[in-house]
Amino acid sequence: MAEGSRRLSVLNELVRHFFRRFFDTESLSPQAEPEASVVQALGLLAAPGAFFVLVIRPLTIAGWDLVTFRVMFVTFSMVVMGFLTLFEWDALFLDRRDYQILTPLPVRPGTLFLAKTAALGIFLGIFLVDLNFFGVLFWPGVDAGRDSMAIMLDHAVAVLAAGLFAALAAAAIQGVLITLLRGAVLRRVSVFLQTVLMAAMVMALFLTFILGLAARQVVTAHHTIAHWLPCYWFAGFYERLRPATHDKDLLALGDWAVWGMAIAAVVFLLTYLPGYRSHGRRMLEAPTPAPRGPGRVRRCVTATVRALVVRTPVEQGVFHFLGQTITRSVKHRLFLATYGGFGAALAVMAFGDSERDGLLRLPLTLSFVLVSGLRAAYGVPSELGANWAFQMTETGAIGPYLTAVRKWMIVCAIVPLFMALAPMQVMYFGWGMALFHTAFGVTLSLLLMEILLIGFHRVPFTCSRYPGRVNLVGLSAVYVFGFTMYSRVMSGFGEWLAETPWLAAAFFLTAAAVLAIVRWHGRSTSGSERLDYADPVDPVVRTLDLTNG
Amino acid sequence: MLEIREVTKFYRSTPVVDNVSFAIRPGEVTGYLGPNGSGKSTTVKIITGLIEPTTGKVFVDGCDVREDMIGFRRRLGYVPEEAVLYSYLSGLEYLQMIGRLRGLAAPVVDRRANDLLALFSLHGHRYAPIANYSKGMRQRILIAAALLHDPEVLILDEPLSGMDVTSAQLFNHLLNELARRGRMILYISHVLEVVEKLCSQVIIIYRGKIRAADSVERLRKLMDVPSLEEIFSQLVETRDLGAVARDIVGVIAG
Repeated sequence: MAEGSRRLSVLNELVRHFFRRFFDTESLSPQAEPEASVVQALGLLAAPGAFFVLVIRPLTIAGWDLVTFRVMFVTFSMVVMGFLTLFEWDALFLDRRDYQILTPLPVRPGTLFLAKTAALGIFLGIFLVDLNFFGVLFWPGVDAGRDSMAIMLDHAVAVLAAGLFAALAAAAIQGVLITLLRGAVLRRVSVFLQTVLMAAMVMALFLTFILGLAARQVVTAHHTIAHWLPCYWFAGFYERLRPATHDKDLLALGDWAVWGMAIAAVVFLLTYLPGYRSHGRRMLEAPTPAPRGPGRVRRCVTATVRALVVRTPVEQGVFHFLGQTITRSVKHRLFLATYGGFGAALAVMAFGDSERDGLLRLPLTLSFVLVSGLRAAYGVPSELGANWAFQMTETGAIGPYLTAVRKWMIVCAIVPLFMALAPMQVMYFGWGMALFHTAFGVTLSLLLMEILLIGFHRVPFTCSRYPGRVNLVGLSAVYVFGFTMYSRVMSGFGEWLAETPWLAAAFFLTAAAVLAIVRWHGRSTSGSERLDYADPVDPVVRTLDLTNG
Repeated sequence: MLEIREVTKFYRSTPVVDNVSFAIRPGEVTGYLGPNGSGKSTTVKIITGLIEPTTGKVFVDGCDVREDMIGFRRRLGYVPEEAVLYSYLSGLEYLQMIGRLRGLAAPVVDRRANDLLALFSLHGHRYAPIANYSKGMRQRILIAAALLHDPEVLILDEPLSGMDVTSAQLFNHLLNELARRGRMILYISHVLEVVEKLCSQVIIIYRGKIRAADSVERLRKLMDVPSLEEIFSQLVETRDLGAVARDIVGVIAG
């Protein structure tokens, strides 16, 4: 009896420990309290569902309109659960620190597995219930039916099943990867898939309304996309639980949901336990990998960049640091994947009106998301404690540091983006107009970059963040304009310029003059400025020093 | 010469460093000793300019370092107490970054970084991320980064932490060689035997105040004790350690 209660107590302690570990990932602020993070996240995720269901509740909907809103709620549940599971991708299994600390303790491996699985279940369960709670509670007013309890129950089953499916599917993918792949290949594929899938989830989140509004057309037109998007499967599953249209095609999609759920669950069960065992062995026994270093192509690219783009040592140091951080820091990768998903959603929406309009707006939309996303990522610290290396090696003038920041954004983000889009522009608009639109887009991106970097006197990722340090009003104005009207207004402006060559010439000359003045101003003031690390000189909490007469 | 004159640092109303003064001459290794929390690392952070003193100044060759902190840092190599490094960079990338930020030309950085990695037995791991390095390996990276630009002043805060015996022995020889070449070295350590062997001058700080500052030889004579360990115990540790050990055993057995 005593042994049983001791084991239960150990299990409880481990579940608590693993649950807390879900909130101490690198992606959370180092100053954040885990409990506060949980409460904030729960509040943030519950709010959209609560707000939206209260807005549509007075409408009392039936038929395909009801299906539209069902798709939206099902999609929201799936996307958030998928995103959360992908966000915690590395925490689904024990990590090296867990093994090093916990395996020397007198705890059975089975207890560790059980505790980790229970913590994962509790974590996902709490969020699943939280984000759907208000939707379920207030759904009886939305659905025109009379039996409130049955309506609530059917809605709960549908949205919870959809969320569970997304979480299981994401976990099953990692289980498959861990079972099939090893070493560096596993790391690369895992990182790639996590990033891409997170971007896809964010994209789906922003397309939730479009997916809902397109439901009727997609299903009744037998569009193959219905079989590729699980939100429509679960709309079919919902239809089976509580028919709103009695549409046969929609009902048939319910089978896909059942099969999809079964396959995700079976794959998860088949891969999680064996994957867990082999992962643990590899964590403890695998030798430290010794990579071979950069290949010929990478060395060649680096040498070219050094020869043509960043010539001074300080510029080179900062330039390479930026690239290395953005490509290797989990926090920044996921941050930019989120922006990327948002950009992809905006790009899809840009094609809503016409193909021509979409092609004109696409580069502007993506460049805005890219430049603003990078600017935002620059402000997110990475391994803040290591920034002493920059403080100790400062050379005086901040010019080379800030030049490297701009050069990186231009060479590694703006130029590749417009180069990737150029063939499409050429195919549709012809060489002359494609060149004009590309030059116009690049110029706007450079101006936007300068606007967003006003007052930015830092090496990216080395500065701690404090509330109130950001010009929130100014930045909000840029972002709200950028994410709502920027591409539409600017593509119209671009077309107008394209029709009036002398105005186009005036625009490019003015932009060149503005950029030159900004750079000149930056250079002339860089000697008197110091890099900002925002480290508090004194302890964060200060007394009035009354006793220190 | 590096001089610390009447430096005081208050956190809230508590002085963590209280009126500390000492000097480090070229060619000397100065040991800076004290128990945990005595103010050693705060002193070092003040010297390196990472934190501001409440009062007092630091001079190098008679000039206040605050007037030209950048110029002073060009002459300074620093190994901090904690090996906090950008863990996603490889050892080679980290040294390259530090070298470039110090304004060294790319070929010089590449040559010195590779040579130092080889001499510190890290060449085989030069492309591996620092996250995979052991504590001793990280410490060697820090030392290599501090030496990369051939500094005149070296401040080493617990540099041997986590190092294996061979690396520690190599480091001791290195310190002697650097001192012989006229470098000013401030060496903070808890390993008293090493300090006794290497340092021409020893400064002992306790609760923010300097308790002793002289050569080990003179301190031995003055205090009439045979070793630095005895000197240290008399100056800073007033508890009966044997009794404390017995109490610890009592706690775990009880």
